[in-house]
Amino acid sequence: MVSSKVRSRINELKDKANSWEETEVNEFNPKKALLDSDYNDMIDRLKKRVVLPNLEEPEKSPYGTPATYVNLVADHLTDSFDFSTVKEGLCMFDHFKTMIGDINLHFIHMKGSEEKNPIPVLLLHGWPSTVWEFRKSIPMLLEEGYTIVAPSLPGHGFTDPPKVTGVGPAVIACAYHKLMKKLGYERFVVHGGDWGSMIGCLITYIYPESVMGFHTTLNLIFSFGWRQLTQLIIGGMFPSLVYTTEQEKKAMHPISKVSEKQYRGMAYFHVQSVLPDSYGYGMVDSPVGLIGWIGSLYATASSSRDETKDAMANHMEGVENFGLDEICANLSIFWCMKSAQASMRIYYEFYWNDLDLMSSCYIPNVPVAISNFPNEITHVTEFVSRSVYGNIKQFTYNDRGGHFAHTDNTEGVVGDLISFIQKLQ
Amino acid sequence: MEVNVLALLVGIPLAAVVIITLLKKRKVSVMMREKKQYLMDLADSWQDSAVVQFNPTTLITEDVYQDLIDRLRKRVINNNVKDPEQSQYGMPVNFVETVSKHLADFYELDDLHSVLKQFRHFKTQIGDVNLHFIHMAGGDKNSTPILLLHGWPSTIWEFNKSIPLLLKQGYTVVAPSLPGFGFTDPPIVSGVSPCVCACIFHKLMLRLGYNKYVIHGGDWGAIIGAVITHIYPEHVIGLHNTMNHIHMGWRQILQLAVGMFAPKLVYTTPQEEAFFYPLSGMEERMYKKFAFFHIQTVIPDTLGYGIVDSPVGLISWIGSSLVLNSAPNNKAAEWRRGLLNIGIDNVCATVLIYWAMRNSQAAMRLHHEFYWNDREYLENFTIPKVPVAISNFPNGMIHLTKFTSWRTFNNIKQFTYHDHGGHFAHLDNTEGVVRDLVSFIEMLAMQS
Repeated sequence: MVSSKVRSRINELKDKANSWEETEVNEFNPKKALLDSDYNDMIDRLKKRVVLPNLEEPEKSPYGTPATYVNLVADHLTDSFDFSTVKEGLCMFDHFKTMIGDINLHFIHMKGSEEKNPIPVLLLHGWPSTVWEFRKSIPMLLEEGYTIVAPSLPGHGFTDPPKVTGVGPAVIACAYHKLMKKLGYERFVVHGGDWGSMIGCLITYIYPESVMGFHTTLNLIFSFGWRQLTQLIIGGMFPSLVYTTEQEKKAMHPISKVSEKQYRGMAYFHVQSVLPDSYGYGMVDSPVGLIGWIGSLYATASSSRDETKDAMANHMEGVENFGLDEICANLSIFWCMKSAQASMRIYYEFYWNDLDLMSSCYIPNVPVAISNFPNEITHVTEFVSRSVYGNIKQFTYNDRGGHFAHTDNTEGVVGDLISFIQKLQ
Repeated sequence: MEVNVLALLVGIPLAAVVIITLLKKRKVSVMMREKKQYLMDLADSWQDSAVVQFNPTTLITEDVYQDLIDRLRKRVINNNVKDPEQSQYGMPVNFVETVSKHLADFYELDDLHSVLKQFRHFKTQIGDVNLHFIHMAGGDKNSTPILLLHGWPSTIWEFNKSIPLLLKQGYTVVAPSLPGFGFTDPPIVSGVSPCVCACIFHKLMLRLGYNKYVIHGGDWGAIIGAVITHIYPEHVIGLHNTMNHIHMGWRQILQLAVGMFAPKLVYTTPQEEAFFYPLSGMEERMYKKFAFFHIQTVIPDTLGYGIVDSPVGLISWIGSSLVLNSAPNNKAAEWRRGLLNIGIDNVCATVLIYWAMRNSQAAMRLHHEFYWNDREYLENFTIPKVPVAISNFPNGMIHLTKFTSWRTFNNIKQFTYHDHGGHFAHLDNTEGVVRDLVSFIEMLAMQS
């Protein structure tokens, strides 16, 4: 049941979106924003980096990102990484900018085949990512004949941070919807991971008539209802009856460990939802700060985060899956566009403005597809997913891949998306 | 018949609750005893080591200072807000700019050196820690020794005005740098938690020849001071805290209940009342207040790289504690008042020490060590006999009444309130906190 508070929030958002002026769409060249001078400044700073004289056994550090990882990435950037691959890679696509509300929105827009009726697909990345995440996926989807629209989240990459406060995931969802309308797409498929998944869910919740289907790689259930309770009780006694994968089982068992896991897992979220700017200065001014806070995530979110292994071992597993060059590519965009601090603000805006809305989210009819990857940070069973999604058309398990599936299992996630879209037709 | 059934229905669950509570209490007291023994054995295992003189200014050279200034001049900030005073997301860009400019254009290295040189510094190895400390005797051989303990994110700089005042009164002062803070290098092994620090500082006092001493502490210093008092009560003449200790119990619950209807009966200051009320907003207030705590107890290093390598990262990080905990309501919007209270030169000195010693990251590890090693112990200790004094300042972090403080400290001899000052009272109300300490020590001397 949607409360009146939530209903009035939705109406408020829709009114706000309707009030946004019509503006023009301009071409944009990312090469003009990714300046060599900024990149070289990062390299200089890395060469002069100050890293704490550390522990006797830095690989085993219990305190978070080990210094050995930071130095590994820093050295790769200064010695091996080729920044031109980022500029060339991005220029394979057509980029644009348009003002929607308070957001000077950047997006990639590639039209599908002219012959068929190309299905528009809205690709939404999350934090701390950029449209770079889709650089291998977009060509695969274009080959299927789809039209691709991939915007940059405010404060991430080529969308500047808004100058006003209040631009949270709900407002962004409305902005993305407005973007699709502006480009002439009345109905479209939404695909997202991380914040892209939350925003995609909100678009589907607020504008269900516009969404042909919603495909998510991050399954995150905010409410705790009868489904969860039932699963906990039965799963405690007969886990194989209830859980399909080890990861699903470990997410909830043993209960005594769950709160400790939550405490460890929610540290980023807590800090970013309270004082993102206070800590962000060091990440914009220091590439080492950027590598520590953000660079570490590309590795850990792509690893199995095995508690029996030490910190460096887990990071190296992630490096192997995600790729050291990929880590550097992401970091160099974040550095040149000075994204680190402002990108975290979405957590603040979400927590203080959009939490109620997100918690009440229920999608009864729009077809939904969920893709699961073994190293993802959440694992929710199909049974529990039904507490949010009433029409799950596809629920897949992949044998490899993590939080950034477009990077470490492109075929898997794109394959899932394509088969879902085919099911919709 | 009915009466018997009723008696069973009430009696059995009640008995069960009582038995479970007693069993839990026994489990806790066994844990406390074992941990106390472990810590004492650990301390006994530490070898004796020489005490050597030390000059901290040799580590904060002109080159190091110039490097800081260069990096400040090349600072990269992308705040992109309409109003640089905007503080909703944390420290506003105006704060960072103000301190950066002051540090780069006005502050002199000599300001720091000349003050540090006033004191006599030493180093000695205790366990895994190469401990730095100030040691100065104010009076004759019988002068009372005071162990001054700072907290996070502070250094012994915090006491730069207080130490001369205490020396003038004839006291002997020992002020160590916490492991990973100031001039005590970070340990290269993990495990140096607040309880271990307590043993280290006690060992230090013994090594200097002080069998009995007064402890004064704020923030971690207050917690570590309380642990020393718990483990070695026979050595502690008195304990003076500027940060109270939160323990939930029946006193707290009773006070909360009565305070809902008759707050004036229960609370002495508006800060005490505001600490818990309105109850409906409590979770939100705690969520905001303890964000820093969450990150530092889980992944301090992950955050720390940017703070060690970037002066503006360091300035913002220090500011969000040093400045905001001197500001009314500890709000980011009040940063100017906070900066005025604590003094921009004090902020610059603290920043400079953390910058030069590269240990802002390591300083946060103490929170991690606390959370995973000492939490249970610190949640359960009480100080039954040793006299305790608590000083309350309006802009401090924790505001508890004397009534609830009795849960932890059973012999509160002095409980004072001040009209100005915050979490770092030695910087923003030096006379107030020193006066409290001196009057407490004098009271103890009269009674003995």
